[in-house]
This record gives sequence, structure tokens and C-alpha cells, in this order.
Amino acid sequence: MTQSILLVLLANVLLLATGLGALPLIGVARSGRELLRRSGLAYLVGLAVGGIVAATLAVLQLSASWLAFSLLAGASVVGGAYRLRGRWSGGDRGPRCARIDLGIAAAASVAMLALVVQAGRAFVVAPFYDWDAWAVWGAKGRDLVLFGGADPAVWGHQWGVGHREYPLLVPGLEAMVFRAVGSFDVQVVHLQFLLFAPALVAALVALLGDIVPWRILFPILLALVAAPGFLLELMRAYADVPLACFLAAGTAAAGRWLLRGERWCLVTTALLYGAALVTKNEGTLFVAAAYIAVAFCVGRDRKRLGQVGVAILGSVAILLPWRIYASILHLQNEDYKLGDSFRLGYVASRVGRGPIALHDMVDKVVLPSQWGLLATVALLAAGAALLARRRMLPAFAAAFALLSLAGLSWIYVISPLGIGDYVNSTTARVTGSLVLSLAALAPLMATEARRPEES
Amino acid sequence: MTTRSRGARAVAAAAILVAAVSAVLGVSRVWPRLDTAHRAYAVLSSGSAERFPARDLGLDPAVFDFYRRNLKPGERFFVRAPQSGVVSLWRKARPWAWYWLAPAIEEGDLAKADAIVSYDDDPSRLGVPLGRIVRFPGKPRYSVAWIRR
Repeated sequence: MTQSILLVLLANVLLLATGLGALPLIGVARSGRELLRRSGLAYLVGLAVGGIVAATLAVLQLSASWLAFSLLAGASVVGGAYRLRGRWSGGDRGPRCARIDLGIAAAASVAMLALVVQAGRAFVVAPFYDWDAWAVWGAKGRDLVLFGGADPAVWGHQWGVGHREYPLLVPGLEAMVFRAVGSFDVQVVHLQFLLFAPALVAALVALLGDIVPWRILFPILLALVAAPGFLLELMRAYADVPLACFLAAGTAAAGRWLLRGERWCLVTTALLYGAALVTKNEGTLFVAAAYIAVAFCVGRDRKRLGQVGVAILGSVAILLPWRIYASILHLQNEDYKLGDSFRLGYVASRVGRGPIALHDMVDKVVLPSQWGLLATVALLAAGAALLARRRMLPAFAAAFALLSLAGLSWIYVISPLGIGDYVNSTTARVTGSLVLSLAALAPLMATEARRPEES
Repeated sequence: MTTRSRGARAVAAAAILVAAVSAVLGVSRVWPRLDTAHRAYAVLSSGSAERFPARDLGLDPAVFDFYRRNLKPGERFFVRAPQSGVVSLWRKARPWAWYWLAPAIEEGDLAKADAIVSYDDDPSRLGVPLGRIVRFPGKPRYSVAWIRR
């Protein structure tokens, strides 16, 4: 077991290196100093880039082997180093923290580390104990290894259980683990899911740590990691929390871009939202909601709208190989057909399901045993920003939340599945993307509330 | 500082306080659940962890190991199992066979299948010409039967 854990960690070091090299390449770091300051983003970016590459290679019937991940990491590091070309200085030196900030950050970091280590003990021995873990995600991870990619003979054969229409980022990462350890180790593969926790925390620190006081940032980060739905859902080995992690960090970057207009933030958003699109079909809904919300906040500023348009194109380009592959194989969503939205009689007969689903989702969003008090934290932070007449981020958060909930409710309306079972088995986890994204915006909103009024 | 901005700061401070409370409540809820999970799963061997879902579904993992030994990679198999009951054996055996027997490929269309995997059922009732049949020792209704083409 120890050897398997080390091999998984080694594979993830390659992803970290991939991300570290990618930061200068995508313009997140323009100097060594900036790279150091924003290096917290490297691992989540590495998971995104590695996952996107693995998913794309799978579609092309190529296996993402050790060699592929090593080449990717090597190319990324060399490309990143070339981009920096020894430039060290540039950008500001970053925040100077008061002692109390450092103390709070240290205490919260120790608590988060303890929680992740405690989780690690359970994760590395847990089997696939829930249906989707093996029937949906694990099966595809195995098949990518056994068939050397997304073999159309297997993927084109869809019969209503395996969700073959779901994209391949998570199976691609699982396949990476299976290849790294040399067997279908269903226990150690959970470690890959757990690693999304430090990846998200480090990314949020890198994205927000220089503009949000740590006394605000770290308590919210700790609340996020300690929310029962976060680690316990990750242990189920479903793709919902990985999706939520990409969305949350992407949304924090989008929030920062709305406030400060820094280009690197929007590039980060485009990449992480692209990864979200390749993680799960619901990603499309959340990413669409977020981009519409961003465009709504930008208003009539044509230059910024154009930048958002380019970011959207970037995210969509990441999903394109999978969409082409899925349409060639006629892979249909097993739980609902968007085309049913236009069957008026059908929709009219089921429209009563919307309020049932919405009620249940709102319940799950605020349920302390699922997502802690994260929604309340976000609501208070938004209220504080509104009181301080900083409307941009509360407007973004509200538009994103309303559009997401409306979109999810619509899916429950048009799905032919029984509403009771469907709602019971899904709302707790699908709301994670919404709650974590709002929680990722909360530090920015709380900071906005404390900013001195402009005269 | 205006009353409004003092109010904003107070609400922001309340948000941080609620975050701290949320963290404490979360840790107190998550920590023991992780402990329980560790104790429950640490006793599993890697083999029993791999077969955990089959046991969880009430299926006999040894039978599926037997199928796996007998099917060749790429062979297409049709799953035959009783379909009665709220959650029938077929509804459990089919997805698990699909997962566990890869790289053999589950086939829903009998006309395209190379073999029939029977779980507590008789493949001859499907009315297709059968060639070689291997039966699980001591359980004749659990078998792999190849279709004669």
C-alpha cells in the first residue's frame, strides 16, 4: 500500500510540475517572483491541464501513460522557464501580514492539514462503496486502461447505467492512478480525489491571499474544507466535488477579475471552467450561469465583454474534442433530454416538479450537515458588501446562484426519472458546485465591505 | 467612518464568525465519520475491496471471478438473470458484469453476443443454439455458454 501511495503522489508531482510550468505560459506569472507568489495555483492548474490532456488523449484512442504525463510536465516546465527567461523581479512583493493574520492562517492551516491527514487514513482504504463510484466513474477509468482509450466499441454501447455521455477528466485521472500503481487499486485511487482538497485551498490562497486579509480568508477556507459535504462527498469518488473545486477557483478568479480587471485572472477562469466542462455534464450549466453572470456584471463595457467572449471560446474549445466524439457516437444524456424543453405538453404536465426540486436544493444548500454554514457565510459577506455599496460581487454571486438553481430545477422538470428518488439521490451533491463557488467569493465580498469608502 | 460602513464591517465580521462556527461544527461532524470509515474499511484486503460492490449488491463475487476466467478480452457477452422483483437480480448482475468482466464487453443485443453469462438462470431458455457451456462448480445455474454461429 505504501508503495502505491508513493506512486500516486509521484504522478501528482508531475501534475504539480505541469501546473507550475503552465502558469507562465498562460500569463498567470510574468516573473519568478510572481510565479512564487501564485504557485499555489499550480497544482489545481496541473490537475486541470493533466485531466484535460488525459481526457483528450482518451478520445483520440491514446493512453495517458507515465511517459505522456512526464512529457507533459517536462514540456510545461521547459516552456514556462523559457517564457520567464530568468526574469525574477516584476509585480509587487505581495502582502505584508499582521501577526494576527499570520496566527490565524497558521492555526487554520494546521487544522486543515490535520483534517486532510485524518481523511487520508480513510480514503486510502475505502472501496468503491457507492454505485456511481464504480458503475459510472471507476468503470470508465478501468476501461481507459483496458482498452487504451475511449474505444468506440465500448463507449458507443450505451444502455442506461454507465453514463457514457459524461466527459472524461475524472476517469482520465483515475486511469493515471491505475497505470501509476500498475493495478486497478480501488482503494488508493481515492487519494486522487482527496488531493482536490489541498489543490483548491492552495489555489484560493494564491488567487485571493494578496488582496484579502488572511483573518478573513483562512477561517472561510477552513469552513470550506470542514464542511461535511466536502471531504465525505470526495470519499465517495464521485465527480461532483472535483467539478465544484474547478468551479469554485474559477469563480474566485472571475470575481477578482470583475474587481480589478487583471487579465491573468480571466485566463485562469477560462482554464478552470474549461476543466469543469470536461469533468461533468452539469459543468456546462454552471459555467454558462457563471459566464452569463460575469457578462451581466460587466454591463455595456464592450472591451471587457469582448474579453469575456474570448474566455468563453477558450473554455468551450477545451470541451470540443469530447463533444465531437460524443456526437459521432450519438451519446445521449441518460437522465434527461434538453430537447424535451420544447415539448410544451410534456413540460406543462411536469412543471410542478420544479418547485419540489428547488425547495430540496435550497434545503441542501443551507443544511449544516451537508455544506456547513457556507451559504450563510456567503450571504452575510454579500450583505456586508451591499451595505458598503460594493454591488459588483453580490450581483455576480446572486446572478450565478439564481441562474444555477433555475437551470438545475429545469433539469428536474424535464427529466423522465421519478422526482422523489432523483431529488433524494442528487441534490446534496449537485448543490456543492454552487455552495463552494459562493464560499470562494465570500472572502472577496467581505473584504470589499471593509474597504474605505471612496470620496 | 459612517454608520453604514461600520454596519458593513460588522456584518463582514459576523460572516467570519459564522465561518469559524461552521468550521468547528464541520470538524466535529466529519472527524468521527472519517474515523468510522477508516475502521470499517481498513480490515478489507485489496481483493475484497475490489469486490465490495458485488457483495453490497448481494451477488456472489466468486461466480463473477469464474466468468472472468472464462471470457476472453473483447468477447461480447449477454447477461441472463431472473428479472422478477423490485430490484431484480438482472438489474444488479448486469452492471456488475459490465464492470467486472471488462475487457470482455457486455452486449445487450443477444444477436450480437458471443456468449451468455447466466446468473441463477438457464441459458437454453433464450432459444439460441448453444455450443460449449462451462458451469460454476456446484451451481449449475451459474454458467458461461457460447453461442453457436
